[in-house]
Amino acid sequence: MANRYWVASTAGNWSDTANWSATSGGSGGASVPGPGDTAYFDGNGLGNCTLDVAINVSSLRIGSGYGTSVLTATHNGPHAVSGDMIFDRGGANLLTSTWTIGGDLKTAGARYGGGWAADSSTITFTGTSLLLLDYNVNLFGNVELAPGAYVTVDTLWHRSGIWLTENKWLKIRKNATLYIKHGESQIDTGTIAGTGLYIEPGGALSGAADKQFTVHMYHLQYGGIQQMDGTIDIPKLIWRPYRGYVVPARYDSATVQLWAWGSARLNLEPGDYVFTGDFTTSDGTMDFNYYSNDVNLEFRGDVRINFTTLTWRKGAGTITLSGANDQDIDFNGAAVEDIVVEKTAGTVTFTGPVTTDSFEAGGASDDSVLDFNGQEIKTVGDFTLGPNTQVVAV
Amino acid sequence: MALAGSIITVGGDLSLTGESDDLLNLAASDTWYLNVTGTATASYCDVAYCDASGGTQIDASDGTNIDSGNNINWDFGVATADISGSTAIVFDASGNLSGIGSVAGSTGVTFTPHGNLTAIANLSGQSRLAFTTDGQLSGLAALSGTSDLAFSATAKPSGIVQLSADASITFGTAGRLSGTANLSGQSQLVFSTTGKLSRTASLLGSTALRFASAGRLSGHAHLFSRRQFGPRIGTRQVQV
Repeated sequence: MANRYWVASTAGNWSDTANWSATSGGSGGASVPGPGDTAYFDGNGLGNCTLDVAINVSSLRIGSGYGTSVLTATHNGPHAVSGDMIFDRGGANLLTSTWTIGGDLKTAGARYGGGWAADSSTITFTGTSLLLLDYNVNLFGNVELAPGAYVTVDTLWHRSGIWLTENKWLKIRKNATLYIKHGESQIDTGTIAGTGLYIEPGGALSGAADKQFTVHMYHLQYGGIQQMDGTIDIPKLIWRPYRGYVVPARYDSATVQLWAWGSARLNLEPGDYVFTGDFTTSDGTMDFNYYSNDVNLEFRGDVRINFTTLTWRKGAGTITLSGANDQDIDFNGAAVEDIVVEKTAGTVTFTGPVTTDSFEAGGASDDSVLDFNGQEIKTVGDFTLGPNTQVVAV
Repeated sequence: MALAGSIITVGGDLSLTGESDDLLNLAASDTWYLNVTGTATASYCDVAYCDASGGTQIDASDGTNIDSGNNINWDFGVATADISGSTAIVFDASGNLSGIGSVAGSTGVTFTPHGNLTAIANLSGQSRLAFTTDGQLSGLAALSGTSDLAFSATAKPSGIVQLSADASITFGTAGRLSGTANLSGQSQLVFSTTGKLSRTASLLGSTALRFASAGRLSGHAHLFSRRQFGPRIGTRQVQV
């Protein structure tokens, strides 16, 4: 384990031993930093550094004295930093390189230095990491959390966070966790196959009490939530499609909000969607379940559909109102699939009209209370109230 | 809002089912609507203010439902109850009993003040069916033993009354029997004050037809054996 200091006064290559010293400001000629070494960029070597080889170090520290100088990765790597990668100043242009980082990544100082450009890179976090971001230095390319990794996203500015630019993916591998502590975070999926959000079994996207994560979707075939076999329980998960899709899964966010982006279309894949929190929408125009797939929607919280113009395309699925919480249900007059009430407790209050293929409550698995609340309920088929439900009569 | 104002439109069949010890409460405080295209059945429901006139009549005739009033296009059928033992049932408000199968033993059913019994009542033993104030019996009552059917004030039984053995019907004040009375054994039909018997009465054996004060018989009476009359015989023919 050794320390190596960048001492080049003009632009130079990482691989050139002449640019490295064993001491700050010392003579060049030391070995190039390798595994177990810490590479320092301080005020005693202000030349820009070109990563012309795949680097592998213990730590990469860019001190405040490096000013506006920049590290540019012309070699695609993979580059490996087993510990921390910290920018107190200076900047980075990662181009199309790939990185694995085992410790913290702090880009905060780059705002005042040479900036942070990583839109086309791929960064994989392999350990327990703090991702400390600052305003306007929050953009990334692809981000992956290796199996078991735990990454906390923190920011110095409220309107900052982890922003994955268009056509990128965020992969939270098996048993890894991405925790949003501060700021706003989002992923812009795009028109390229393979982009989107992937969460493997045991993986988790979570966040502090008032945090949200937005999934922008551009293309019905590609962008969106591509895999959800783990958990998303960040308090607010925003689906914001222009065109896009999400896969069947259980979504544990306190609120899943569906935003209409222009004249929006959302495709649901065949299968079961479970929303343990509230399901709400923006206003605007939405074409829901664009391909009319057979989907089962289970809502355990409120349902508030507020689109100004809504096309609700039905498959052969069922809408189940379940759980033990009181629920306010407003489908805004949409014609929806069969509605079945199967609650262990709690009151279902209709706060808007609905037309459903059929309605059933009070079956063997239900212990609900129904409040029709003066609303208009229409069924195309049968309407059944069984002995295990109660109705709020007055 | 609850149920009031709700509009439930059913394109298929409607099924409303509660439990015998936990009726499905559909008794709203104001009008709500059921518009059913297919069949419509209800069991163990308590219903009020339901306007089902926009579709199929709701079949609630299995005797398990409660009509709590102001329902339209519902068929609740006629409920009957068999009352026996020493049970006493008292309607002390505007209770309505839409049917009694039988009242036996020393039981009693009392309507105070505005009760209505619209179906047949059979009283036997020492049972008593009492109407006070404006109570009405519109069905047929058959009394036997020492059973007692008592009307006070302006109570008006409009059906056919049959009395046998020691049974008696007593009318108070302006009580009026507009139906047909058939008395046998030692039964009595008693009108007090201005009571009126406006229809035919048939008295057999040692029966008694008593009119007190201004009592009036305006119908057609067939009297056999020891008959008693009050102060005034009406205009109709009395055969002795």
